[in-house]
Amino acid sequence: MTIVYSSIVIQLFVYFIVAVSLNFVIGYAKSLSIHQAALFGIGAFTYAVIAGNGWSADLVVCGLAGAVIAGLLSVVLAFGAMRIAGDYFIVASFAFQIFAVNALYNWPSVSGADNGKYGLPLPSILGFDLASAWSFIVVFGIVAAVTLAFAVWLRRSPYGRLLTAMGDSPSALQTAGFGILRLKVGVFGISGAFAGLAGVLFASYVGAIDTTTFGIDLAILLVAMVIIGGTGSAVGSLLGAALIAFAPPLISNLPLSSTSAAAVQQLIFAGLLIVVVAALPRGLVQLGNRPAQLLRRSARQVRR
Amino acid sequence: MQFIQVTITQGLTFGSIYALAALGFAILYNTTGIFHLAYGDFAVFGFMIAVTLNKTEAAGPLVLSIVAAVATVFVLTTLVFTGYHLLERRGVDRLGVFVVSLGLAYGAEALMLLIFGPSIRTFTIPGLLRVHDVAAFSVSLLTWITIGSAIGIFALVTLALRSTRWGYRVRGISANPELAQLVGIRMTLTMLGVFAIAAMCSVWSATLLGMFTTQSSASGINLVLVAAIAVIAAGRGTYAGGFLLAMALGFIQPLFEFYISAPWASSAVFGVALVLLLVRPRGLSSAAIGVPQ
Repeated sequence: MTIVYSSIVIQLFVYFIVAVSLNFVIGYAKSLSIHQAALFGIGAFTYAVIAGNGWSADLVVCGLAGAVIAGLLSVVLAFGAMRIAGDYFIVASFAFQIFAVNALYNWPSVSGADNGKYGLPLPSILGFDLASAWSFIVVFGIVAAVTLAFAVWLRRSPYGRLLTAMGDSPSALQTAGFGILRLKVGVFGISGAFAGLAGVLFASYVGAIDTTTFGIDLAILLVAMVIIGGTGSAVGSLLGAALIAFAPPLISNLPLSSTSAAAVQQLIFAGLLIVVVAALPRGLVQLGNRPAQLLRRSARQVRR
Repeated sequence: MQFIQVTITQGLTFGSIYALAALGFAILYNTTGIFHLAYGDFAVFGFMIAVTLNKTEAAGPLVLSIVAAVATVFVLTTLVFTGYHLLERRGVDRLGVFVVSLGLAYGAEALMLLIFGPSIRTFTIPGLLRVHDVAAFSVSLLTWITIGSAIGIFALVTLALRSTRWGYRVRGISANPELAQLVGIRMTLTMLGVFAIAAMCSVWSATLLGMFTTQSSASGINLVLVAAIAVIAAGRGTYAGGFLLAMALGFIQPLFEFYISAPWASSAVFGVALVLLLVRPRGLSSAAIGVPQ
């Protein structure tokens, strides 16, 4: 497998984990969280600090640390989300995104400020070094599969049904005697933890990061990825992640400068975002629903 | 002493620019209830048009190019809000409409990058930068124009909202759009006035900002967020609250720069906004929607 293809597959796994993490908040809590890029960045810089200082490059250690730090920060935001909703939450989420990235920038020992953190050591997992593209693909693929399994389990679990009910009608759930705070804190914490974990994986693969990577453009791109793919759906997250992973190499084949190629990619995502809201409210995953229904119906008829 | 003078001058200057942007955002937000995130990008688009059309350093051609930019942004805003309205009629909820505005903002930034390039833009009119000493302050003519135009435009818009038939209609639509339509308010004409004011405030604020600092295709998001923070944190429906809060936000950056921590100055506005929103989740004012305060 060439370096380009392996890089696409690795990025697909990382973006899939971020998309699932964001889908927990957008799909369940129905809160349009803009700040996921900041939590993703916090995970990435957690790896930069732990591995960069030579403490440990083990993905289990760094992944746990990134997940705990980003998850706890997300829990704090959940308490804020209890007080504000709608446009107020969106503005607060934007404000947090900008403030958090700037805070990282102003903390040179963590982020390296203008220089960023580069030359990060290659990661290992339980004593095995990840030295080849294949090793990254296998490990990141396993983490993505575990994330998918967790998302499917959560959706079908009683807790997941309560989360869905919270998104649909929080007041009805409260009337039935369920505490919204516990649910919201839980889903925000889970979402933050997976975003932090994805950040750790991202930094361990690219080996050089700076705060500009995790700015407002990435924040919007992540929201676009989830909405274009389909909110509340793991398959939708995969579709959105695939779009983000495959678009840059495809567009780079066009005879454009790097700036123009980035702008064209941005235009495509912007157009897709608008078209999806107008024509496919449940995202691209909706396109597959009809054929899937037809397949299920014909399978039932065959069984009879 | 010099720090105090600079803080006051800078605070008033940037506060006035933010207040103008907030006024335009407020009239759209209060009347339609739509969080138009692309507002900042449209403003910067207008600024780019004004800079591109105006090749001289004279004030006369600049005014003409600004008028052309305002007209372009007015047409764009009208088209976009017609689109939002059609989406709402198709059953798209508020979150969906916001996502469309997010897409528009994202797309507008990319389009500006393709049309105007990645370089930062600014322009100066040397005559406007001449400094005049007033009391203990050394203030340029451009600063006076900025502060004066912000207060003047705010006064005119407030007067129009309070005392004209158009203002009554706008307040009616803000309070209850369905009822306003039922009682025969001419929505299209009224809304065109709203879009024109929003276009004027946005382009003028972005132009002033581009004369004091620099603008690039990515600058729109910061402008709209500062405006949205002021309007939303002040409480929906209060024009004066949004205007004054935006003015206050203008002071935060120089205050941080000179007295607290310069590196934190650029994000201080957002930190303060977070605290404001969490402490007063329904806004600072509890004024009724549609009644200019």
